[in-house]
Amino acid sequence: MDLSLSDEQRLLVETVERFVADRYSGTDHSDLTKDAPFRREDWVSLAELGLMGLLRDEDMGGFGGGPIELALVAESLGRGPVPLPYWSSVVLAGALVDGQGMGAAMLEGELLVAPALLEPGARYDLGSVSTTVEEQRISGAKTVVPLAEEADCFVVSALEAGELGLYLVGRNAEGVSVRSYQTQDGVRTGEVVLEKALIESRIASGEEALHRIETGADLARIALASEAVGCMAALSGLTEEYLSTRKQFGRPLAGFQVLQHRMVEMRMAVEETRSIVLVAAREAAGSGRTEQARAVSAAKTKAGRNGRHVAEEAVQMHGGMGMTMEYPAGRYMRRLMMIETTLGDADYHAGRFSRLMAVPAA
Amino acid sequence: MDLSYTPEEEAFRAEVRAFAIEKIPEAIRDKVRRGRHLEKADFVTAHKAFAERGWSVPGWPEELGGCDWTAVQKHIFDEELALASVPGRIPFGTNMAAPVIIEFGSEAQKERFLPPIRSGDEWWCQGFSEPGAGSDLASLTTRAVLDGDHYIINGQKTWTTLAQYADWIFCLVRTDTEVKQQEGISFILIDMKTPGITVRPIILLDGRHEVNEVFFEDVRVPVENRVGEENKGWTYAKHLLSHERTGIARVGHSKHQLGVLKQIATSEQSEGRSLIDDPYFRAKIAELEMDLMALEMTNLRVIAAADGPTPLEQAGMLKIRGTEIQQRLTELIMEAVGPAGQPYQPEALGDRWNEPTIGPDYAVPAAPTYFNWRKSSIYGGSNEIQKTIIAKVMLG
Repeated sequence: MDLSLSDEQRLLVETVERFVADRYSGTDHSDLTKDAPFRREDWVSLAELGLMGLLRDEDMGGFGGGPIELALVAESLGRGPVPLPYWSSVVLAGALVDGQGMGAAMLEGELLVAPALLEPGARYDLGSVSTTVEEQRISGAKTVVPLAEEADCFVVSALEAGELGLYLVGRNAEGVSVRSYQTQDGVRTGEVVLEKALIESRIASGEEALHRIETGADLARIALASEAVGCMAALSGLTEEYLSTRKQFGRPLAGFQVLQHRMVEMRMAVEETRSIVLVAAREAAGSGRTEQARAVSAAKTKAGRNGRHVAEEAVQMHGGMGMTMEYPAGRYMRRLMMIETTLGDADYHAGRFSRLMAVPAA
Repeated sequence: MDLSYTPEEEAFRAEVRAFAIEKIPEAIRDKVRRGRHLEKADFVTAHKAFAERGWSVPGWPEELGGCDWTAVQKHIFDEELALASVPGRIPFGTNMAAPVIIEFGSEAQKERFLPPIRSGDEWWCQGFSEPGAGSDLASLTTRAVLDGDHYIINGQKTWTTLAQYADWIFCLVRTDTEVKQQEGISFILIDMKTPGITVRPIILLDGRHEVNEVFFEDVRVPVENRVGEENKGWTYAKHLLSHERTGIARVGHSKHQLGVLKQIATSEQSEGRSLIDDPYFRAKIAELEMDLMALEMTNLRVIAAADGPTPLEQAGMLKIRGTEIQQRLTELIMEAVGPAGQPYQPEALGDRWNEPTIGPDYAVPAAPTYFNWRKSSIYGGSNEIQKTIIAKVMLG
């Protein structure tokens, strides 16, 4: 076991941090009613940095990274925060379309794939699917699909003769309509309606489709939880700085013990979450499915609970400043709340962990 | 970063496990497993088994009998011993007195004191807290006045763990009352057999004699028993607090107790099913297990990152989270046994008890352990003090 970053990992982190600083520091998030366009060039930049192929083998033109590298990248993105759904259109999409010969175009950033799995009313259950395929045509509805409008194609889960499958559907295919909006944190997203749209191909079916969805979603959850760590670390840093500079009653807020102790709790929540994400990354790299799912759920639970705790504490300790759209604390809070409600919230994952928990034989 | 254990680390784990099972008597491990009280002889027997193997003082420099282990090996060592129900090692000699003697003591002190600590032939206790000096330790008033080549010591220490077994006590005493509090304290080693020392038991919430008051009345201690310089004791005490903190989170112990909790919750029946199948109770165990998984990784991160002493704020975080989890475990075990935890039967936890217990065997230690472990967020610098220390490092 080696807990220090390798040179390669350190370089990776520095690269992403530089990208985030160059493109996203000082971004004006103050008006969410303003249409924040998705900048395709940012996506291409991510590709140029090699981040599209982070998890792809080196002989396939990828970086050859694993879940730990994914966690490192995602944490750095979270520090932005960066309104690009890396977890979705890179991590989840990559797992869903693996081996489909789309690798090269995705690596270049030329082909943008949006997973469209979740259906309205299904909450967090990706297995609850009523979209259907008949005679090469697909019909149904998918909800909160990141980059729905901007994508070149969707990977859609659907039932064909009662069997689950994954299908590739072109964004501009006839019968595809998208209602586009941005989420609370400014990520371009949309509702997708499919009315007898022609599918391009079937990627997988049955057990294989289910396996791709489950393992892909778990990898994406590691990315989301680690992104939450980045948001939380940034919030903790902002709050420390604020308490040290803001004076009331003739002394810095940092001098008040009631705030000191809350600040320490905040920092511990960040470290605890970073640790559990590493556990999930370790398990995802080498354990059995149950251990993987369990550790991922632990990470997502902690990211949810601690993320909310840190965000709420940060706003509280900033006082009125924390309430403003203008001050950066809010954008991390918004991102954290979106992470919490994506691919299962803390209660959902605590429940999954609880069911999968190892217990002695009765 | 590579978070998997190497084959060498796995081999080490197997070696530690085999040692624990073969060399620590089953009767002692059975007591730990069943939450029974340990006698002095149990601790000494275990210590001597470690000493024979060369593992009684792993944190010491190698030339003094320590082990040249990596942080990960130390973690594995602690974890495997705990999982095999080996008694926790008493830290007062090996991890508290010794590091100060090694760092600041004279050659004569090292020769005199270190070998019997290593072998387990001498038992140490800690004389820091006083009735008027708890979290505010620097306000201590036990006085040492120089009289020729002796100090005359008067005062009182309290909460002294297992002083009733101790051969020696290391004390912080006031040697100068004219200067700033922290600058008038010395670190001194006192033979418990010296005339003028009285040990009185304090019975804790669980009904047990674990800690004591220690009174000093004109106790004459040779000057050569002072460690390092006069009035530098506060610095030495701080050194002690940053030494060997790998075990502070007690991850292995908590893993062991999590196993105990799950076993009890599986045995206990509630409304026609195992308690562990009650989703509400099961969720509480699940949350605790997640906390523990995170703590284990934090512990590894901290000990692997620290080259030398553990930074105070990180040790503080491990102490806070570690004790919160330890206490939570005792709470859930208490909840799991339910009414079976009500009978007060302290004698059933001792060695000389051969009668049947009231209720299931596993219920007997539940309440005493719950009461006893309230101490963990108070001792070693209360968790509130830890937060104040961490905040000072973070916020300046």
